[in-house]
Amino acid sequence: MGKKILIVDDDSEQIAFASTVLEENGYTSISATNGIEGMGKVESEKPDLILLDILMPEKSGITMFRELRANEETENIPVIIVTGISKGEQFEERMMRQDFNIPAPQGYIQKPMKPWILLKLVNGLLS
Amino acid sequence: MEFQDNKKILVIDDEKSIRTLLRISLTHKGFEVITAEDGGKGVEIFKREKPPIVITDIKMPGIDGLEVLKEIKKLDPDTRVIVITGHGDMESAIESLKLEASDFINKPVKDDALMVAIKRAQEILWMKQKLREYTENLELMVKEATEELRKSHDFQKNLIQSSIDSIIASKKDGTIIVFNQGAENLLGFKADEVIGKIQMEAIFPQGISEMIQESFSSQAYGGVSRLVNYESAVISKNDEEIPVRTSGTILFQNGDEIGAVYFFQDLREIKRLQKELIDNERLSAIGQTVAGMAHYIKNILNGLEGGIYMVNTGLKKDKQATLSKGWGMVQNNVARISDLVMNMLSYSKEREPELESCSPNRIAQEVFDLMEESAKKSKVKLIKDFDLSINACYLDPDGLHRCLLNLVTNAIDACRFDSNKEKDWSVVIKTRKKESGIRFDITDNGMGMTQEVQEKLFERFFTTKGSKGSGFGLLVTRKIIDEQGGNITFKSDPGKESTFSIHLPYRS
Repeated sequence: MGKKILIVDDDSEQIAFASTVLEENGYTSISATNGIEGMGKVESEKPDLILLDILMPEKSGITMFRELRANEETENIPVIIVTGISKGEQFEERMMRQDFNIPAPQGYIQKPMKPWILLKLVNGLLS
Repeated sequence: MEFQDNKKILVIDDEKSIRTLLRISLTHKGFEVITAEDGGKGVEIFKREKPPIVITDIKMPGIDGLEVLKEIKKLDPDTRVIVITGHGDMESAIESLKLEASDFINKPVKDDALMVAIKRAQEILWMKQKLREYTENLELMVKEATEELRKSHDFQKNLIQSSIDSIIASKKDGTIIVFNQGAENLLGFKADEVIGKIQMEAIFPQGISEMIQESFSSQAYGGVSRLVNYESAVISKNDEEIPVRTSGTILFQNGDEIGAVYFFQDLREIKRLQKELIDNERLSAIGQTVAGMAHYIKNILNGLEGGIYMVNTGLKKDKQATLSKGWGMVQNNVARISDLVMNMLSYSKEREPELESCSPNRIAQEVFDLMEESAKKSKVKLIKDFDLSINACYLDPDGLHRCLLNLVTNAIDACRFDSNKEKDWSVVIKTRKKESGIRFDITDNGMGMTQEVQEKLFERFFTTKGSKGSGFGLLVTRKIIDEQGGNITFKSDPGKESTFSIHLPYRS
């Protein structure tokens, strides 16, 4: 059984895309479509890495990221932030980069996502 | 008396006694008397002293009185010369009068006769002087008046000539009589090509002259007989239509209309700046549009990349499920692009809606058929509630189709994104015939809209669908409905339901 990666994204196509890339390369993937569901999965599934979208309804990626970093059980789970080019996404990303109170995410990946970039990032973090 | 000024008298007589007599007598009367004992000396003294009055004896040795008279009249024709003649010597008297002596008196010289003659001489001198003064004054006055007139004329002429604005004046019959430098610059004609040769209406484009005449006779632009800041146009020599701000006034003389004067301000620069401003705004709007579009297209691209990757993987590894899911994603995103392009076209086109006779219910049915399947996938029940009494009428079928499709798609999404998963979601397409026209209601019982969302609803690129929304749909919908003379309204209860209504005028 490969390492378990949690994909949190409100876009079902993005989940299908990322999970195919990861599973074809020996990882196990699970998914959630918003921050609340995502935190539930973190607790129940104990993922090895989280691929986290920034803009989501209910609970945004940045809120979820802060919660992860604030809990000592989850603070060490590597997080890759999925970003886009909308103003909201850019704003959230900038906020995140400037927030020195919490450790930075382990990586960023931009949409449209290139499979090899995702794999390189994930392999680097989980090997 | 005013004529007492001429008090210097030269007395010429060879008889010493007469000289002495006259000197005493005249000096006593307040005259200044100079005497000479013969004609030659008399003329010499005259030259030096220039007395206005000379009294001379006729009969003198050497140069006689007549010679003296001639000589003095030659030197100064205005001098009054009184000649003293011998008793009964009428011949000399007449001769002297011919030579323009002012008077003659007989010997022996009587005091009162002398005084009458002198007084008369003084009067004539005074009158001549006054006449001369008057004439001189008159000349001066005329000269001054002329100068004043010329100055004021020059001033007006300069004022008109050097005005930056174009000033053109015409007679009542329309003949141009004033055409200043500004007008030359504006219209490209030289003044002498125009003055007296061209009618005022020739410099206006068709119809403008009539409109200006009309506004002269109305209150609309600054009152009757006046025109203030009226935006019109003039035609230049090379046939260019130049936008101008026109002011003018009818000219009256003694209550009769004699012509009109027009002031034109070139608006080309202002118009150019206005256009530049509009162009800049348009460019910036294009910039925003491109940025908004790029974002949405990137999201579609992400879906396509994912779909292609999954199709490849499915083919390579012979995984039917991955392949068909990937293919579905490709189809989905191609559909989104096609949707975007259709919306973009509708939005960008300054189009006249193509009205044709068709059944509003049939268009609603088409949208129903098209969306029923995808609604079912999202666990939404699509319901139709058509008013069958609606007959065929004139509307833009493609436009209406797009609008209903956009609204139904939104309604289904409102259900899909609803966090209350307990609900039985439904979307109702309702058509109704109203007195004012036809009404379409699209009602869903999905998530509803917050106040903030409702306020931003028709902003460009505003979307609540995250990466799945272009922020174009409602904008396009409203544009199409506006073009057909209809309107779109909505009401929403957050968490419960939303209804979007299209009202179209009925054209049978």
